Amino acid sequence: MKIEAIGVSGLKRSLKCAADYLSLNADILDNLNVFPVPDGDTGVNMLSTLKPAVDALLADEAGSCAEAWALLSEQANKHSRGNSGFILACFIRGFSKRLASGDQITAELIRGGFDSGSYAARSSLLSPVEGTMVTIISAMTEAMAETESGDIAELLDSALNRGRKEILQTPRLLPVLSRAGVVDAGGLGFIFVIEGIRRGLIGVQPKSEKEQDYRFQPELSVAEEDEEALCYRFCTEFTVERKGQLPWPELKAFLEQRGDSIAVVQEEEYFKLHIHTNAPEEIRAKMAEQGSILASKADDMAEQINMGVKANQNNQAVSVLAVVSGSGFRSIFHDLEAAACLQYGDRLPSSGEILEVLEEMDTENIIVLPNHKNIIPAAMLAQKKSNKHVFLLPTENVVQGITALYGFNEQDSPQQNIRSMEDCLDLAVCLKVYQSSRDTRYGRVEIKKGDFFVLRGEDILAVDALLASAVERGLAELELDEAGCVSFYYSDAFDRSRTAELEQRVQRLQDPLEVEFHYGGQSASVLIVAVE
Amino acid sequence: MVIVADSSLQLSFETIKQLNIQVVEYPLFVNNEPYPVSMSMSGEEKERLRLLIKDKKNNVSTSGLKEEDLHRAFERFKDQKILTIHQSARMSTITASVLQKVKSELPDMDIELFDTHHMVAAYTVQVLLAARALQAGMAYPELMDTMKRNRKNTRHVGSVYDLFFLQRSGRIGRAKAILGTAMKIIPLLGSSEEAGVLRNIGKAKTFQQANQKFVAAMTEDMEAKKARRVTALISRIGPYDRETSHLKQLIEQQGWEAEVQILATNHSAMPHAGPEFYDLGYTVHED
Repeated sequence: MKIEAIGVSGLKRSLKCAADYLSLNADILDNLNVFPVPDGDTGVNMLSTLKPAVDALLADEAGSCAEAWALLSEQANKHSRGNSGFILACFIRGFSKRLASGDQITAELIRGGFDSGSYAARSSLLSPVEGTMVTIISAMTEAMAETESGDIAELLDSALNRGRKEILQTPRLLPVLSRAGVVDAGGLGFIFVIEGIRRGLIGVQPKSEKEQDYRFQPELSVAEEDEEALCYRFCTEFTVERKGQLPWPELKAFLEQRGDSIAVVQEEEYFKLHIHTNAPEEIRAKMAEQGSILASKADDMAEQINMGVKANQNNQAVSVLAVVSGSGFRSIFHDLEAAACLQYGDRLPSSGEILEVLEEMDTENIIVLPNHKNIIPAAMLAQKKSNKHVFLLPTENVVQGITALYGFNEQDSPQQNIRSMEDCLDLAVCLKVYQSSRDTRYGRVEIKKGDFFVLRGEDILAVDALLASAVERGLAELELDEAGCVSFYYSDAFDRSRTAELEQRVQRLQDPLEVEFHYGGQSASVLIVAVE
Repeated sequence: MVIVADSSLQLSFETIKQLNIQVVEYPLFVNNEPYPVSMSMSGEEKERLRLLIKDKKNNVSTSGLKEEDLHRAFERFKDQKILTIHQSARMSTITASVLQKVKSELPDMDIELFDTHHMVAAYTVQVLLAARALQAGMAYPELMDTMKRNRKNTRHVGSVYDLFFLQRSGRIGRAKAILGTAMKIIPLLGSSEEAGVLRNIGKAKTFQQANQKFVAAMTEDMEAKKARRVTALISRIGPYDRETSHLKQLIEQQGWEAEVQILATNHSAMPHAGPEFYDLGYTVHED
């Protein structure tokens, strides 16, 4: 159905839906926020600007769309917060200039309103940067100018199509986005606002957007700009009652010497300043010379960045599930940052048991370390059945599992982790020492009941009636020149009074070589030996 | 033109003098009392300080550069262009603010602030290269271009044997500080894509593994830039002669045209990195 005009009730419904849309998806904007400062507050700032303005509008009895929009503009300016909130408020303010009179809003008025809003947003900034919200607003304004239709829904559709296309180009325009693998958060927030208006207009509920749709592989090769890292710490804003004309060239020079991300909106009765600076007190004193300070704030962006990094870590978390054969290994793997361990005894775990743990874990991206050749098929089956993003690193023994974790970094993507964990798999050689429970033959080697034998994979390296001798002979088969440490992981069957003797035997083979003993608690082998 | 740096510089006193680098000291406190430090501290004096830091009952800390010290340093060279080069503003926001403030208070002086985006050895390698270029007669615009290029091509990696100190100074969380304690795992830190921010780049059980990881990172950078030349500084706190010699040797074995120096860490980095630490800062030359 063609919508040629909107009245006050339609406008209120649309703007309420815009605030709801923004509210539903604000977290995504916070997570994507890297420019001008990665302080993770774009969603919060835009919502803090729009929501109170819409709430005030809903509580008001505005008689015309022009009155309603004027109230929205006044309230958005009053509540505007942060860079993105400030630009959004400027756009709303500019838009209102085209609605000076009129009970209804038409497609023609929306075209003009976007044109005027786009100009107001750009001109409020001392140095507009392409690849940000102003680029998206301009692109959507252009799309509207090219659409001749009188149907408001069609007009918004064309603007949104252009905006959604353009937002994917923002990393090309702004290298900091490219390096972070994200689109511009402020520009996307503006799209969410217009998407909400469109949905409110045609009676469709807001939907949750997918953050992943706005992320891509970071381009680490993109050249770093010559910008300084967080030179200005405080995101500072002042609303000042005007005494008269602002001494603009002098004030501009004063501000430019003390900060960046500077935006100024001048109304008849007051003006509002946004600046990132290290000298909020100096700015305050200067503002006080221009008139009474009605409102002010100075947020510490360094603090916000720290908090944002922590929050982001939770949202994109990747964690590790290690399958282990003893309680000692459980704590070792936990120490090495495995989020979960599935411990088994004599019987190897089934795919169902692995799947159960995967589903219980509170992260979507999970790397599984089976740590046993015969557990790999069950882990593969669990990977297929799980609804989560499960990555299998087919570690064949527990030593490979431990060294794989040397390459794990929870801040990296699963793919980056898999690569760096794979690189660590060969950092250690794993030997297993068993005691035979009966007379037997292993290939061509005779093993008597009670003998200790040392395996490297499927190969038998040594057999001896004495544990220390078997270990020494097994280790002697390896190249120890480049080794720095031998770690023994022992089971309950190991006699701990033997540790000193084992240490001596190892150091007899190679000195200096560190020797460590850790309780593994495995059920089959007496010792698992890691040589690294 | 004169180069001003801060005491997180790891060069020896002799090199600093020879390259005519002016150093502003970060004040150091032991249990809230000022502790006498200087770039000319002897090896014994540094070791005494290291042992004080190692005793975790002592609270050893630094504060930001003092305004009056910067004023004094800058005013000595008021008739010259001053290029003041510092460690990452992101990691030392107070100092960054003080530098901006002092610069704005001296509008008649020609002061250029340069944030290296790095710390410790990776900060030092950039100062070293800048000072050498200046001494060789490089003009200001070319020097700035070179410094910006060097900054992009510098990486920082290090082995921190005890994360307690980084945790105490708020640079990492508590959970990370107890990482693999029982297993005696060596946490490896390195510069990230985000200027001035250190990140976990892995773990190692032995120093050989750690050094191999560092050299792998270097190899990656050398290949990415198709470079043959690299300047590398290794700074160490604590008894890590064997470890740092191994790293130096490993780098020299790669067949690059590599200048590698091992330096005994100066005092300012110690309270943050702790008493058991070595790091590598290197700049890859794109020629």
